[in-house]
Amino acid sequence: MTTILGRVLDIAGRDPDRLFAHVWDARREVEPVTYGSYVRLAAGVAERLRREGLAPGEVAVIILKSGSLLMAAWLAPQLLGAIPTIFPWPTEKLDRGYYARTVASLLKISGAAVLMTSRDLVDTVAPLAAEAPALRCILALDDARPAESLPEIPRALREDAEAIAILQHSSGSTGLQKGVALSSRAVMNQIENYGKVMPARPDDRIANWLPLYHDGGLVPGFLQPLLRGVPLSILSPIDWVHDPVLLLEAITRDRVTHCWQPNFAYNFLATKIPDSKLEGIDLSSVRVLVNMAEPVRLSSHELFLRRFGPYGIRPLALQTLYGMAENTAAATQSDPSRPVTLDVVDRAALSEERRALPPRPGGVALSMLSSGAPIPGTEIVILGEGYERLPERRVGEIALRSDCMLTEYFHRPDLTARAFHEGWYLSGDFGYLAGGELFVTGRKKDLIIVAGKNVYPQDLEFIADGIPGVHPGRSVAFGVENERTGTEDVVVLVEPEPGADEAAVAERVRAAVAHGSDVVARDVRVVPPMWLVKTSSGKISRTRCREKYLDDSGK
Amino acid sequence: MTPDVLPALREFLDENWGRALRRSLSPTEPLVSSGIIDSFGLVDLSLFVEERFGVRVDASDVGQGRADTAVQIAQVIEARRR
Repeated sequence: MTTILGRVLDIAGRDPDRLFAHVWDARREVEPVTYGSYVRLAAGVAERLRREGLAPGEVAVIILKSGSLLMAAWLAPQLLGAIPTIFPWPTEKLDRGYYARTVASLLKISGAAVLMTSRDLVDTVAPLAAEAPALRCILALDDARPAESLPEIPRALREDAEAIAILQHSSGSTGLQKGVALSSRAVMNQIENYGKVMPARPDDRIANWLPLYHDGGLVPGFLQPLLRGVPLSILSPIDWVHDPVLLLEAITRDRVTHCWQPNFAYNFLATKIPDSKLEGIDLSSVRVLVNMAEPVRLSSHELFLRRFGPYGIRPLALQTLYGMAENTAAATQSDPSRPVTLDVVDRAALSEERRALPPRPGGVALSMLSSGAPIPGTEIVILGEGYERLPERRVGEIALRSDCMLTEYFHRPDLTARAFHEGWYLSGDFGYLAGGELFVTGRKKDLIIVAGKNVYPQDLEFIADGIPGVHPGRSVAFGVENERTGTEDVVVLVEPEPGADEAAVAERVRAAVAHGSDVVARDVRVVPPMWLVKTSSGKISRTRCREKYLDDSGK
Repeated sequence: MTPDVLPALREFLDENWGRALRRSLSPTEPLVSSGIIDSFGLVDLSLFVEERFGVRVDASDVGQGRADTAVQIAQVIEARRR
C-alpha cells in the first residue's frame, strides 16, 4: 500500500503544477501553492532536518502559525521516515510559563528529537531543552527555502504503510496528554473509505479554517484535499475567529463546495457577521457542510439555514459526522444525498430507561439528529455496562472496530490496552443505533468540549486547587450546554478555605483558568463548604455536581 | 475624556460579561488578559462598537499590551471617531 508521503510525491511528480491550496490571509491576499512547490518546500525543510540527524522513527514537533510553511514542515519529517506532530501556537491570553510547561510535557511524552518553530517563539521554548532529554535541536524555520527539485526517497518510505506515520496530540496538562499514533495504512483507509460516502466531482473544493493540530482540521480539512487532489482554501483559525466573514469570502471567491466545522461554528457564523459585510457573498457553490467534533444540534442547523439560505445554502448541504482522532477522524457520516435523519424520542425514556422510544402521551419529545451510518471499514456496536452488546434503540457506550484505527497511544501501552475491550475501541461516548444510523446522546467520560476543543476537567480542577483560598481538593469543573452559542460553557465550582474572601477567590480562579488552559470559564462560583457532591467512593462526582448546579440555577 | 462612549461601553460590558460575574466591571480592570472576554467575545465587542459608534475596533486593537480595559477601549473608539 502507498504511504501518505508516497501518495503526495506521486501527485507532485505527475502533475507538479496542480493546485494544492490557496492560503488566505487576513487581508484577503491569496498565496497559491502547487503540489510541486509544496513538496519542494518540504524537501528544503527536510534538508535541514537531515543535517540535524533526524532519524527514521524519531518524532519532530512543529509549532508554527497557520500557512504554507506549517503544511510543508508537517511533510518534511516524513521524507526522512520520521514522524511529525503539530502542537498549537500559544494564544495571547495563555501564560507563557504555563505554555512552556505543556510543550515540555509534550516533548517528553513524545520523545521528540527536533522542534521546528519560528524565531518569535524560540525564546519561549529554548529553556525546555533541559527538560526533554531526547530533544537535540530547536530549528527556527523562518528562512526555509524550497529545494531545487522534487526529492528522491527510498522505496520503503513510499510503500511501508504499517509504520507509524503521524501523531495527533490531544491537549491537556496534568499527565493527560497522549499522542494518537496513526500508520499510513490507517490514514489512507480513512481517506479512501470516507471518499466512498462523499463522492467526488471534478469541481470539488474544500475550505478549512480549523487548526491542523485538531483531528478535524488535520484529516478532513488538510489530508483529505492533499491526498485526493482536491484544491484546498485554507485560512488561519485566528483570522477566522477575529473575522468570520473571511470564510464566506473564501467560499465565494474560490467556489468552495465542502467544509467541515464544529457545531458552534454554525451559531458563530450565523450571529457574528453584520449584514453590511455580506454584500457580494454567494454560497451557492456549497454542496456539503459537515458538522462534527462536538454534539450536533438541530437548532444550530436551523439558525444557519435561516441566516444563509438567502445566500445560497441549501438545506441538503447540512450534514453530520461522528468521529475521533483514534479512528483517524470520521467513524460515521450522514448520507449527503438526503437530509440528515431526525429521530423524535421520548425524553424521559431516553434519560431514565436509556431507550430511544417514540414520545409517550404527555411526555416531552426530543429531536435527535443522526450522525449517519458507519463509514465503510468501520463497525460500530453499542455496549452495556457489562460490555454486552445492546440491540438497536438501547443507549450504551459507543464502541468501534475499523481499518483506520490508531496503532497505539504513542509510548503508552497502558493507555492503549485500557482503550480497548476485546478488540473494540471504547469511545467514552453514549449513543444508540437506529436503522443502522448512530445517534450520540452524551458522554460517559468527564470531558468538556468547548467549540470543538476537548478540555479535561481534571486540568481545570488542578488549576483551581492551586489558588490560595480554595480548599484543596474541593473544586470541580464541568460543561453546561449553551443553546445560544451551540457549544458548552465551562463552569468551575470551588469550596473556600475558612475566612477566605470569596469574591477575590472566584476572580483568581477565573484568571488562573484563563491563563493556564485553552478556555475561559463562563461561570466561577464559590459554593458553601460541603456543597460539592461526592460518590460513594469519596471522589467528587462531576456529574452530580453538575446536576445540582443546574437545579440551583433553575435549569 | 470619553463622556458618551464609556458609559455605553460599560453598559454593554456589564450586560454581556458582568452578568456572569454577578458584578459590575470596573472601567480600569483588564478584560482580555484577565480571561473575562475570550476571542469569541471580542467579535461581539467589535460588532457592538461598529454598530453603536460607527468605527472598527478589532482584535488587533484590543488585548494584552493594547487596549485591555473599558477606559482604554473607549479611548480607541474616541480617537477613531474624530
